[in-house]
Amino acid sequence: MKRLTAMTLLLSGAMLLAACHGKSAVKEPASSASEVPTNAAAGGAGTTMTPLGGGNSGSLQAIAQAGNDAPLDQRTIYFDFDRSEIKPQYDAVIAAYAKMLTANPGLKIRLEGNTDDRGSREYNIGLGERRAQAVRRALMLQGVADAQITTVSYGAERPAVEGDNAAAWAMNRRVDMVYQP
Amino acid sequence: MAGFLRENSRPAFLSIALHGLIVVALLFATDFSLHRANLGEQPVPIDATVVDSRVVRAAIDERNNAARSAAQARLAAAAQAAARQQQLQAQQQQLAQQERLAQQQLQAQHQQLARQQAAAAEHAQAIADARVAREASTRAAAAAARTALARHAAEAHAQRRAAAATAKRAAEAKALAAARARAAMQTDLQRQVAAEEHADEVARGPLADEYRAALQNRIIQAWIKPPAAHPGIDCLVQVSQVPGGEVTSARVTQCNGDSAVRQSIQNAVYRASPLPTPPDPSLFHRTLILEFKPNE
Amino acid sequence: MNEKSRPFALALLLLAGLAACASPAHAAFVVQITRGQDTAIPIAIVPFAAPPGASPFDVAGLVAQDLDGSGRFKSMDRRDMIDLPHSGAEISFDDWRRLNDDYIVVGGMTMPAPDRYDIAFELYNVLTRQRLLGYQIHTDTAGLRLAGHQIADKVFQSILGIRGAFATRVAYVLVLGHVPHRTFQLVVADADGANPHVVMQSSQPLMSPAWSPDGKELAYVSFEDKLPSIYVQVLKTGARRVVSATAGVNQAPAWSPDGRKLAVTLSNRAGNLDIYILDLATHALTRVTHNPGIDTEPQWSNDGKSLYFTSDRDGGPQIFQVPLAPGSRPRRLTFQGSYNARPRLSPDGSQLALVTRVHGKFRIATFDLQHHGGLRVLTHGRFDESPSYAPNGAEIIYATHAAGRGVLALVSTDGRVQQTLISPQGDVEEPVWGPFGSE
Repeated sequence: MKRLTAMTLLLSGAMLLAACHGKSAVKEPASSASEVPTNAAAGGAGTTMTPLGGGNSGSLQAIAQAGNDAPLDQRTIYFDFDRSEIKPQYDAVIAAYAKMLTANPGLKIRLEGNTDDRGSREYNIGLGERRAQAVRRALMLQGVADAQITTVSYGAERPAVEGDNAAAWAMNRRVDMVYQP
Repeated sequence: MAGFLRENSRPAFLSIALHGLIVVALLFATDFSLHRANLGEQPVPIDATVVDSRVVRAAIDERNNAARSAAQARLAAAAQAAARQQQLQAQQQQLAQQERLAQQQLQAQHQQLARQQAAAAEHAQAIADARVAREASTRAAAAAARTALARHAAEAHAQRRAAAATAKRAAEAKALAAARARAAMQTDLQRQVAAEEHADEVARGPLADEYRAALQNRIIQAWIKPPAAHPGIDCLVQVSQVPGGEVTSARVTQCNGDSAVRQSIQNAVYRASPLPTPPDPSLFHRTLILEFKPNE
Repeated sequence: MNEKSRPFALALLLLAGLAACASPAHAAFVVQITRGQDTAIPIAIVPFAAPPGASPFDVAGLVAQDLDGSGRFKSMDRRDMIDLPHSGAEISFDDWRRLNDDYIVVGGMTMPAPDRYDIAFELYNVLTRQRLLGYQIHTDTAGLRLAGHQIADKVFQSILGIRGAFATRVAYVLVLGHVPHRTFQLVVADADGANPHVVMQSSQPLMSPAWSPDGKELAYVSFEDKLPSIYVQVLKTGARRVVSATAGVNQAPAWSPDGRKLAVTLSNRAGNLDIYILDLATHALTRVTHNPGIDTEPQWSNDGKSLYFTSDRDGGPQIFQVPLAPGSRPRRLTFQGSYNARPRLSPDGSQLALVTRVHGKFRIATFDLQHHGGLRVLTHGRFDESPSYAPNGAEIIYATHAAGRGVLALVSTDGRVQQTLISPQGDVEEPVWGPFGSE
């Protein structure tokens, strides 16, 4: 009788320890991007993944791993009506992208400028380009190389949200930052 | 300037010559016939439907002139001219009469002369008789001869006096006729002036305004104004109407608009037919001029 | 007045002067008319006599539809026609006058052979009883719609003095589906929206269609490579070629009047948009604007010697003009309002149509090039854009929003008449009216 209880206790203790150990393993990647992640979804227990060469795909994976609040997950910068200045609230996003790009010189990014659909379409192409250029300059100011950035303007042609109202317009005045594989 | 003229000598000369001809022609134009025709005087054998746009323009300008004195002066001048004309005619008639009288006088004088000559002849004869009678030395014969002489003289004298009297009477008659003619002219003139004044009053008075407004409203309702009829367009349509207002013809005479404008204003007149009748019959005109001048 | 007519005119003047002297003028009663009605001209289009035993396409009905759509005419309801004349001799003018028609069109159709039609038609002025015109058309079944448009053109021109544009065509971009899975089509249709043909389809945006001056080709911007390039496509064959694919922006193609060049908008590495001239034969590029602002939407003057364009070098977008002689400086044209863009030149070169923003609303306005002054706003919407003149300058087609989607609309150049056209499902954008020759 005493042995059964002792074994149960031991087993429970071991299970508890194992559980604790598992939790902390999940938390790790969030705090340190340069660590090799253990991704359960990648292939189950025992499978590891290592970055190749310069780490492009690894970096992409790193981005995929990031939690919802991480600046790198915010892929869009929004603008005020008729403006192309980057508002201060996006400084962190710019910084995060700059950091990623400077650390991975082989990584490329495309900045897609957009506008809401009011007014002349061709003039909106110009406005979208101006916004994309603003983000480009901001990145270059933080050390990103020119060769890593391409810009394109879609003007009003690729809205994120359809609708003739201020909310939709606000969601369309944006620059999307898209990593290029 | 000289170079310009030299280079374009033919057209310049042509231009100057034609302009000169126009000036000359205009200088010799009679324009008081304008007034005469209105007074319904003797038929002037000229085609009444030929209205020159130039004179129409003058009429339009004149209508717009509010100064009554100017109109009255024209009226007086026209009246005077008409009076002068009539005077001339009366004078001509008088002259004819005078000529006739003069002829008669001449004849009378000739007759006088003939008689005088005859008298002289007789006188001579009488002297001869007296000489012959001297031989007869009869006082009666001499006295008779002297009486004959005196009679002849008296006759001649009387005839001369009669001739003078006739002449005087003729002159008096002429003066009287002239005076009567003048008087007649005066009353005639007064009548004409009165009639003209009346027509003038009516033409400018509230009745004319009423008629004009009625016509305007009818045409405005009927005119489908095309976009091409913008401010700046100025077109004239000459309209012929019969009493009752039915339009018999509408002719665009002068227009700086395109075919759309012209069609529209011509159509407007026909659509407006029959036109409203005037409140005063004296206002009825067989010919109306409509000036289309959009201001919006 | 040219050299030849001047002596003739002087002679007329002289004769007029002499006539004035010779004839006594009557003091005429003069009435001034300063206003009229803004209504459409009432016209009766009597159904054409049909060939015996056949009931082909209703040509007279299409004529009435065209004329009504112009806003200048109001065709009489057939149900009110008490009589159906088919030739001038059969018209009793007093009746039609009583029915308040100013004009009447009569005609008849015969079939000399299967699928062959002869159409004879006449136009009369009901008030003056004058015959204004009469024509005969030979065509086949497929050509009956075009015949109707051509008849409407003739009637339009005879009464209004303006060449009709009912037989010309329009092109537009049609966007189908919803974000993010949309399809983009380039469509060519009759000016009344009938017979739409899709000439190009893509999953990526299409923009800025432009007709060549001869009406045979369309230039447009395509994002099919995820980047904008300018294509030119031959309409008859569908053959297409890339004419501009420089790095960065390739937008806003505009044909020169002689059809040999395109004015285009390109960008440099820094993303600065400027206007260039592209020679279609040699592919040589000539730069026209040198300014850090957005310079785009070029349009050629009718003599091909200058460009109108949009630039925000002074702050917001305004319309400028620049001569193409080297060293010329652009001159600003519009000074009213803070947003004026998308200039389009009227066929007679007298005015520009453009998009202007009034109290936050985007509307179509015209700008008089002879008396620079204010803008004349023609439309009353909130999102009106892409104005394009009909080749006879009488109307402007544009895009607007109705019930949440993009639709086609027409406005007469003087702003009097507006109407929304029946538009296909989807969002219609960027309509452009083809030239005479696009029929």
